[in-house]
Amino acid sequence: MKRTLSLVLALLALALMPAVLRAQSGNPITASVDTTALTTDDVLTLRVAVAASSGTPPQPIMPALDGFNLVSTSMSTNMTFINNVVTGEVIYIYFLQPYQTGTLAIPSISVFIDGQTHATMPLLVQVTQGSTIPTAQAAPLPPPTDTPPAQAQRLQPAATASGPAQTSTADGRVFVEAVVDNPRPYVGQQVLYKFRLYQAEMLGGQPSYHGPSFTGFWNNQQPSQEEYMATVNNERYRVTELTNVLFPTASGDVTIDPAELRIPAGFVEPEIRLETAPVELSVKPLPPNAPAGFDGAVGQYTISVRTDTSMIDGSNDSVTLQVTISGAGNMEALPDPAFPENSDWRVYDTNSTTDAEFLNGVYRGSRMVEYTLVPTAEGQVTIPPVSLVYFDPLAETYNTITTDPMTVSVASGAAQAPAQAPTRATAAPTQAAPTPVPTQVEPGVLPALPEPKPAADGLVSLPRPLIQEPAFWLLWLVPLVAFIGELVIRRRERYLSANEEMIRSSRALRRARQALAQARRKREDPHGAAARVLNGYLSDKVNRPVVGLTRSALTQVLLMRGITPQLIERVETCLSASEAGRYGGPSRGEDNGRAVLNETERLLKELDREFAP
Amino acid sequence: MRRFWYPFLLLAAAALIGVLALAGWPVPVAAADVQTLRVANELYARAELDDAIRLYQQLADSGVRNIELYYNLGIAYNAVGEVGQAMRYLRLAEALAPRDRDVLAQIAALRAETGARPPARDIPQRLDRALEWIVSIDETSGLALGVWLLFALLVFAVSALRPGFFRSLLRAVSILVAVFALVGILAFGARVYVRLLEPAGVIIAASVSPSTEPGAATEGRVNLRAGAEVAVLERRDDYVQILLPGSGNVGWVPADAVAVVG
Repeated sequence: MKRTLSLVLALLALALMPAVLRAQSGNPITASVDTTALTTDDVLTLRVAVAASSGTPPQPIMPALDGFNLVSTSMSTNMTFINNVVTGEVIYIYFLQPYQTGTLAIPSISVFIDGQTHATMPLLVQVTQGSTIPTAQAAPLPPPTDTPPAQAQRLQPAATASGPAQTSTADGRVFVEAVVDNPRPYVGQQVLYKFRLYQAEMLGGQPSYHGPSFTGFWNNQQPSQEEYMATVNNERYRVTELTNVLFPTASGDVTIDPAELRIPAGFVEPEIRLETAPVELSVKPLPPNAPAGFDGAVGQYTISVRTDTSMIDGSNDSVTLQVTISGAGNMEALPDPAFPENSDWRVYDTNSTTDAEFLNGVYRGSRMVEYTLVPTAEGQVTIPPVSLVYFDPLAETYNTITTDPMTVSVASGAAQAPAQAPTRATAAPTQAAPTPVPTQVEPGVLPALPEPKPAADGLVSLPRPLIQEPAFWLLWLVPLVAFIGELVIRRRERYLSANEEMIRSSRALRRARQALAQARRKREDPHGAAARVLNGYLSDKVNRPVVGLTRSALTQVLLMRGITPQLIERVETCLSASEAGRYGGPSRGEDNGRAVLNETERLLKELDREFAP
Repeated sequence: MRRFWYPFLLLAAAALIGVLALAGWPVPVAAADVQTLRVANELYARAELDDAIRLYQQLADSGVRNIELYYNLGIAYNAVGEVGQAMRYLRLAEALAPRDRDVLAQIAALRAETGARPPARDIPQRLDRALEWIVSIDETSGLALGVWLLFALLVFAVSALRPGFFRSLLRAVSILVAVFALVGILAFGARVYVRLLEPAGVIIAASVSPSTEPGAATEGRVNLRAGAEVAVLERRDDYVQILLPGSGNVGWVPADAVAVVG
């Protein structure tokens, strides 16, 4: 049975080995922080690296980072060209400023690659109070944002023009360049950064690409890749173009660092290092006098609205209002429109999801914001319009888009007091109520679970409890046995001491017989042995030595003990024969000695019978 | 002459201690089990909780008796909302490591949801409650036995020594040890009594209503939810009599609705 179990476990371990190895060594996504202890004045650097064995790595799914304000983000790419296929690693840097103290968790960050979800281990950081009291952003941005203060200071004013910056190999047959499509964008307006590799001949090695850090830009997308042929100075080149979508996060002059391409050393050629020239941009601030409600949205958008129900009765107690904003712009950084203050509705939860992609040179998509609304009034209750104010950089105007008002029928008694939370399964937990443990994990939003205890190498399994071990209870008995034994021995010693005469008498026959048997076994002088045994027996019985007694004195003693005269006479005869045998010389013979021993044995038996009473 | 058997006693005691040490010594978890635990932890970290629980549970069912396993299984069950099983395994973890802060914190958080434990109704239970957060039952057993053996050793040493300063000193020490032995035996006895006769239990069914007799219809006035802590007083057929939390009343519930953790 145990063997079977071991076999099953071994097979299980083998079956799980690939997953373990992948998790331990081949996990394509890793996350790390620059420190695990900081104050609310500090900025934490979260580094997320995503690698893919083929193609460009997908974008990681960032969880909600409770307790942190996202200050800025940047991204860098390490690419390798292998047979015109780009493989590599994308590194996302998130600069986070904590606004809560205590132990803050950065939950698992996951990525979906080749049909499998990979995730990082959750990270914990210890935050203590700094000199300032930061607060949560009113509308915290989703994953990526802008530049940290420390890095923003590095931005120096520079020329505003941009242009191709070429660096080529010595023969000019391979060169690189970096360009942007719009050198004078507004803050938040899309900018395309293009890195191009021109090859008039096939490269000997596999070049690796190291993209710029894009400091000062929102940049959450991995570069898209395009291959085409182009003619430059009457020479045909194969062009590999990588395009990054950028959104400037601050106005002013910004320089994009050079991108680097390394062509490894060949059999005879040394390593070639190509580097683009820095690209400079002049980012324009948004026009002043923005309308009320403007929260930083830049692009071209439309808005739509719907609800999941038009009636609230006993079966449900909330309505989900879905506001969808579609268009071109930085969808991930788009602020959620605020639900207007309203006495008929209470907002219990807001969730948003974004679906965006880079298509035909434009980053576009939609962002759906869901509000869980609980009515505080009955009857035909109107959901007020929701508005978004955005800046259109092409038209250079501020626009306001607004949803249509909607009406929901609230049955009598279905409206809740303002403090009550919705109870429907689809409703999210309230902030006032204790947070229930989630029973399902939303894809991409991993809950902050308590840290499990690690499985160390020296892990031990405790045996069954001591009280279930027989040896444990036997050990308790050892002192008891010793105490009782000591008691018994002491009592017996006292008894023996008090009854020595009686005990000696009672043991006389046994001792005499043992002595006889020993004499026969050792072939002692039978006459001497018979006298010694008989005298010893009589001494034990009368509790005094009889060896020195005269025959008459012995007779007197034995008579006093109730021994019959006939038996006394036989005793005397036996003792006389023994004496004669001992001192009479060898003529007395061996047969005579044996007869004396036999007579002694008979006498002992009969004497003991008469002594007994 | 009368002490000729002391060496035999000492030898027997040493042999028993050896056997006990061998039987009670923690055994390393098999490499495959450690691997399984790591995989389960990995799954847990990815919030793939059902799979993590399946592996944790498999290890627990195979006889691995380990604080890390019980704790991780407890928090995993808690994460999926199975409060009863969560409390069960966290209490088992507590029994092995009563001073582990993580375990205590998780149990305290669960108790905030599941409510108070049943009141201690007799002296053994009070003693048990007083000690359970200080020492485990194994530690109590070991300490009590150790002090008891030491006391016996001192008594025999005193009786074997001739009168003098050293004997007087040992006698004084043995009196002090006797006090400790008495306390240890009382504590140990109380804890064994509770575990054998009134073990702690956790409701693992989603909801159960105690009845006044085994199998009798419940009036539904008292409803115990998963995670509620009880004391198991008696077993009859497929029912157990439990001490209810809060009130201290007793009732009968199906045996499979309760998991003994004491």
